[in-house]
Amino acid sequence: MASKYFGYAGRVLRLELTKRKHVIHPLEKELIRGYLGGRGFNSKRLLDEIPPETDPLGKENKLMFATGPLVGTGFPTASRFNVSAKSPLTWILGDSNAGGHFAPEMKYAGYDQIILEGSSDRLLYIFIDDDDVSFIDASHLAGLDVYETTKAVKEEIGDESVQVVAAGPAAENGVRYAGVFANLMRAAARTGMGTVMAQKGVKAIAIRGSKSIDVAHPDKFEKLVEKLEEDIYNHPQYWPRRIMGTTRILLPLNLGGFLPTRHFTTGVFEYAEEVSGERLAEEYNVKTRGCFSCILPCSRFWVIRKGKYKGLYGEGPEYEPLSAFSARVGNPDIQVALKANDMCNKLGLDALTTAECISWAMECYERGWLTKDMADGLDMSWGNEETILTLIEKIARREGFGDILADGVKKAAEKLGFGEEIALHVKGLEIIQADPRGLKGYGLGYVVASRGGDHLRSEPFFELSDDPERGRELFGIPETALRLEYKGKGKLVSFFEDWCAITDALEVCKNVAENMEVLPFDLSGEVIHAATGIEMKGGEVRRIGERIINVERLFLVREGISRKDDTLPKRFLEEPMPEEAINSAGSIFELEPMLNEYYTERGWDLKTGIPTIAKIKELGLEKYVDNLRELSIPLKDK
Amino acid sequence: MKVTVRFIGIPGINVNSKKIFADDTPRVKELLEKVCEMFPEIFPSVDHIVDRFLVLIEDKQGKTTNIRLKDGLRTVINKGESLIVMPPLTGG
Amino acid sequence: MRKRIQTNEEACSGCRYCELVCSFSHTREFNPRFARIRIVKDDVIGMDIPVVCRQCRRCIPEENCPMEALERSYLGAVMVIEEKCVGCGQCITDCPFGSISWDPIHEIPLVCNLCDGEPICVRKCPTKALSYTDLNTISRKKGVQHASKQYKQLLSEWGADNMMEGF
Repeated sequence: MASKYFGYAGRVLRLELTKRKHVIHPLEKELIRGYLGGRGFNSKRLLDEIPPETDPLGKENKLMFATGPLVGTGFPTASRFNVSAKSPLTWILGDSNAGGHFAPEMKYAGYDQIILEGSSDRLLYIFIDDDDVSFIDASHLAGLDVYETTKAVKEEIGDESVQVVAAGPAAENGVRYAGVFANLMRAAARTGMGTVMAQKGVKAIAIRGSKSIDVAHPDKFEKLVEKLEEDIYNHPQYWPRRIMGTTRILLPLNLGGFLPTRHFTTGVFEYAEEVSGERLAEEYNVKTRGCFSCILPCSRFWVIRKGKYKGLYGEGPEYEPLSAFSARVGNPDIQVALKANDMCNKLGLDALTTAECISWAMECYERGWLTKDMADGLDMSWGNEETILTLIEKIARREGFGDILADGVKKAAEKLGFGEEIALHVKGLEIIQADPRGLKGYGLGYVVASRGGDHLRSEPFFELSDDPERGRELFGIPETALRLEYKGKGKLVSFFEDWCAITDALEVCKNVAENMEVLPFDLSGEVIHAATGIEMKGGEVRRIGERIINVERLFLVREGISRKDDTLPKRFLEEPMPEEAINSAGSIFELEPMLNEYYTERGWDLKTGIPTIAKIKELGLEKYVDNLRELSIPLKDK
Repeated sequence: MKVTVRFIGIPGINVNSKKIFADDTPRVKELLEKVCEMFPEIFPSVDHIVDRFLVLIEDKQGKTTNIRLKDGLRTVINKGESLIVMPPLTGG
Repeated sequence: MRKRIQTNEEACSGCRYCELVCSFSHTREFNPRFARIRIVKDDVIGMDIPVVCRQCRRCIPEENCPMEALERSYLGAVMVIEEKCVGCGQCITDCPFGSISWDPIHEIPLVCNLCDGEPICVRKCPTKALSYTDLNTISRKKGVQHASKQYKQLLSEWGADNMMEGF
């Protein structure tokens, strides 16, 4: 039966793991109006239900999966979910997003959000079959990798079409940056959400649904989808993305001199062509694969046909892991990068954090701080194949030196007592594969991102456009269009943060909706109206994005975050890009002026970086003011 | 003179660079016209290239500048400089 | 000439857009369970294979549908006569290709009806993994492909490789 909700499935499923019970309740209408979906739902509920100082690996933490109003419809690229909890890696907001086919199945089973509470004393997997929920013993799956787990669960249920998210052995072993994996390699990898899931005693969640998703205005919806199809198919980035996916940007980043190489000691990698997306497409890719309802399928199935890894096959990788396991660790061999990425997927690790830990250790070794003995006798020179692959395995098993790296780079530096100044993270989350000295807006994005050092909260790609006229037109500041300039970046980042929050709330693909500029706020409003029946203008849509950002900021503020934490590692603030990185040479990151501009744009207190009472009220969040005061958080009126 | 044109990330064209013969100190427009002749299916016109791709000039040292920040299509290519054509660079 | 939906397994990305547009065009609801086409997948080996009715002769005769609820449309598609169908499921168990779906809500089999000669899945497939062609055309195309390959081999044996430019 079609539900009385349009677009939404209209229900929330709470799984009480301690008692192995479940409760279904209607999706709150206020949550829809205020937060739209996906990441918005999760962030708001985390603020309401996870008090400060909750132990991320304790019973009180909650793990939430949420999807959006367009998912399950035929809206192009609407296939994604966010999985959120307090992070065991950063102790602030944990949140990660993935595509594949899991999220639409949630909707067909009748849920917009699934919340895992409490924890089970023995390992379980959960099977949600429309309204039936079973908690099934999974002790026989203990230690299995993501692929084996997914396969076993599907076989036991006896239906290849059930959708599964799984955690790997790294998560079970308590590595603090293990992810949740849908369709084997669609990784919600960042901030340790797999760790939370496994520590709650859940190895996998399987879901199957038979319900329909209705849209409020089918004719209007159909027309809008046709417009989107046209915009996407005719877009200049269509074919580059279709052939190479995100790996297409490796060579341009190298050209720009901001491809993080050997742990960000330089911005050009002499073997860039060997490990590029072009090389992958020419020699390894055999087939295009896509997420659910995607008309720009950008994932690639690859096979290694000769060499040491002959016979290895898999899917992806995205730019980040490919580049991290080549340039960042100084490895010139693309096959080793493919192998490393494959291992991370199977063991259930965040490839970016893993690569940061390994490349950090390599730099510590080069500087003479780390000895071979401390590293279990491994040769820690740049790009050493055996070291890279052995360490991935050791991290996942928490063995020897791997145990030290398994808590993330910040903790590793604390434990070893050196390398803190070159531990490249923001708020405990390891920085992604683009040098902030060559991309100031992106850098500012890492500084202020609510989950720590990551670009997916903002993606201010506009600064790569080299089009100052358009910068003046759109933001009133020509420099917003120039990557090495810092002026205007506060304004730019806050605009793009709001936009990303909306794409994450709608659970559409950021690559398409945002990076290809096909789903701006006004059009989002139209789409929301056609799908859900709720009238919304572009301004209102952006306001929801802003509300999501502020709710997340309040969560961080409650955990003690303030201006002092909104920073980058010293390397980016003090060491200019080296001469050889010609197109970014000499550049450093101008933190203070950018941060001031950003806070001003956000309406946050310049001194503390905390939202002002005026801003909190403007967004209808006044109910949190008393709570913040009780916690002695310094609030300014305006 | 011979001008090197590099294509990055364009499906249908190898990463390898191509040499284009042109008059001495040609303008970008002239070179792009030749690029269109070489790959008519990918680049039907010069306007198409400018609309949908980034065109950069790279000097001897490897420093690149978008032609948009110079004189656009009228920018003159000097000896030792080369041209790069690639799709717009947005996130990953 | 009767046309059929042909599939290209190498081109299919497994996005299931076909399932969605099929369900929506027939019911105005989005539900892959209501789709008359389905993608069979295996992520481990990267498999995505579209499964849809090939309009063979198997299910229509009386011995296969005792209720005589299956008929052929003017396009050659298999039509389920809902008034006659009792939902016994025999056509589903009999179809060797698994290309008859089961609508769990209305409890009837679902078979591709070719959308009045303009299958929406073919029109909307992002990777052109689906096409709508008659077998005769396909047969001729395949024949030419195979014959040329054989002749090329012969040319090569004759040392007349330069003649290959004719192909």
